[in-house]
Amino acid sequence: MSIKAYVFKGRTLNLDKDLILSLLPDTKLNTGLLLYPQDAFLQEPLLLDSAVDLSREIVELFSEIAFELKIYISPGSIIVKEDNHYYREGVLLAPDGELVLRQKQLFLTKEEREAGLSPGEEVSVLATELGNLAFMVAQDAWYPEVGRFISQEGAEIVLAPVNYSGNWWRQLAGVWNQVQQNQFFALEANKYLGLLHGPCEITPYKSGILAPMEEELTAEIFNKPLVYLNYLLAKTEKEEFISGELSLENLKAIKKTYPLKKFLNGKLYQMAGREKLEEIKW
Amino acid sequence: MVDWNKLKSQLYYYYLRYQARAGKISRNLKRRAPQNLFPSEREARRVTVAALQLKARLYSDPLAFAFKMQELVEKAVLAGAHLIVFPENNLTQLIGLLPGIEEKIEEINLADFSSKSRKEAETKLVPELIKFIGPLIEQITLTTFSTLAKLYRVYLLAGSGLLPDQAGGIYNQAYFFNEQGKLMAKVQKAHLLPLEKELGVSTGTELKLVETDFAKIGLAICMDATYFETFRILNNRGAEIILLPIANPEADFNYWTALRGIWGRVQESKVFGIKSALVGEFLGMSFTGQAGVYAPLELTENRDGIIAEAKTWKQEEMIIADIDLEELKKLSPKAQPNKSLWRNYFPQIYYF
Repeated sequence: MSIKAYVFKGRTLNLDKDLILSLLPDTKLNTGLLLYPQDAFLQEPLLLDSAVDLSREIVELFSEIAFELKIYISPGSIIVKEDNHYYREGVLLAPDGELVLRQKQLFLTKEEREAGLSPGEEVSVLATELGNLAFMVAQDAWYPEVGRFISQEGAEIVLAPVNYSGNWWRQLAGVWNQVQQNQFFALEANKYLGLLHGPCEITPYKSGILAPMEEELTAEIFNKPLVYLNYLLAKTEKEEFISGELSLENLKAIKKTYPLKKFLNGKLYQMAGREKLEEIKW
Repeated sequence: MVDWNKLKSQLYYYYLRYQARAGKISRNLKRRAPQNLFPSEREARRVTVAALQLKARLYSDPLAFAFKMQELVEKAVLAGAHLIVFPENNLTQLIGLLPGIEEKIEEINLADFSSKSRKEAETKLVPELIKFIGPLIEQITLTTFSTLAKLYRVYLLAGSGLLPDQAGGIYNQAYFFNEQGKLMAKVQKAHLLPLEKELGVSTGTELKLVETDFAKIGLAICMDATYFETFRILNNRGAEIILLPIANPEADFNYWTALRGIWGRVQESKVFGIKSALVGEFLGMSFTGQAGVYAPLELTENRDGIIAEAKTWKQEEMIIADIDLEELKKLSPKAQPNKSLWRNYFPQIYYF
């Protein structure tokens, strides 16, 4: 089964239903999966109380949109308050308008901690007709244990709302890196360069990036990460969305021929385990 | 009744052992070494490293192997290296001590993948050959690299080979020597390729760290760098540099697939990484790879995480680079740990 996936790559948006609908791709979205970047509808996410209020409106509006368009849609991340703690949360609305998946950000920056955010303590994976879905929220995408935990819990398609611009090598060290060592698909919605990722073996030029590829590229382009990403950026500059097809059959096939999970060495990792956590220095 | 074949094997083994005797190898290496060729003095926390990209071949003569290793060590020392890293399966090149091995391996490789003869060869013949010749390969390795490390006063990772342990298991194992020629660590690959599993290679269950006078060095082998846990654990134990000998049996080199190894792990764990690679046609397979020296993005000139990297992926090259360990202190502190999260998932997540 192939799943049509879209990531929004534009600017922060106002919470305006007409505007949001007008920017959606023309393609019929039915049964697809669509993701916006981190805090896509929050102008000031770290002004926590006002962000919490706006976040309620975001969920309500996207519940309507999901229901109307009959798609799985994530407005990226929002800010929630629970038991007097604030969290950044990735949220996913199902085609029936229900909020079906919530994932708290697990690793926080100094700025986020100082603003009053708390980290989550668990990962969630949701079984759907599209496959098993999970989130890597914001900078969690740069923490390899997050990818490992959701992968071990069965994630096949990962939603990564991030907000990163700058050095593209750093961008590759995030979602791309996690996809390669865990063999799942990922939608990386980013305000600068959004990407769809898959294991190298099942993507064009073994780049790990699923992208529109109408022309044949030379190794001079595809074998040099910065040149390749510049090419992709130029190619998609005028588009609001990056889109692609995710084939779960291809994913299963590569996991069978190159079974990374099978060679995980649990015995060896006892050192990284519970009994040694106190020894970890940061 | 005398078992003629067994007797022939034994006699041949004694002959090989005589040819590979420690005294002969070490005497010849010493004779060839120039007087007083040592690396230059170094500052306490600065070190020059050499990552080798080595074109593979089979050696039927232990001395020819030892001389080639000496040639490379000498070249690296002349370039200023204090630490020299040889690739994965560097020691497997000595399987050429067995007469006719090349033809035998070719015969196995030509056989249909699913054929009985191939399965039998893979699961029985190859392990038997390794068990037969392995102890000798280890003896040559210990003598050659210990002598070279002491002669040139350098730290050496000899690379790895498929070798038996005392309990009869076969491991992909590498050897690290200090400047006095002392074997400081023997490390076994902890994440195998499917092909190695089919050959009956066992999985290592321990990670090794060696302490030198300039840094703590973690040791890993090839696929170990496909899993973040290896580098995380070594870094948690104090590793500032991690050595990674590789031998990648992929005929068509692809930069992206190469990028998912040591480069990513170095970014996650904030250490220096040194990758050596075995390349070329070897035992019926094509190996490609790029030796290189890697660092966290912030510590590299182009902010790409690459200090130096080979220009080719099939030719012999030597990568020389300077590493300043104090630079690691400049990195911004990592984010706050999430101990509750870890407690919820480590280590049981691996047993789902």
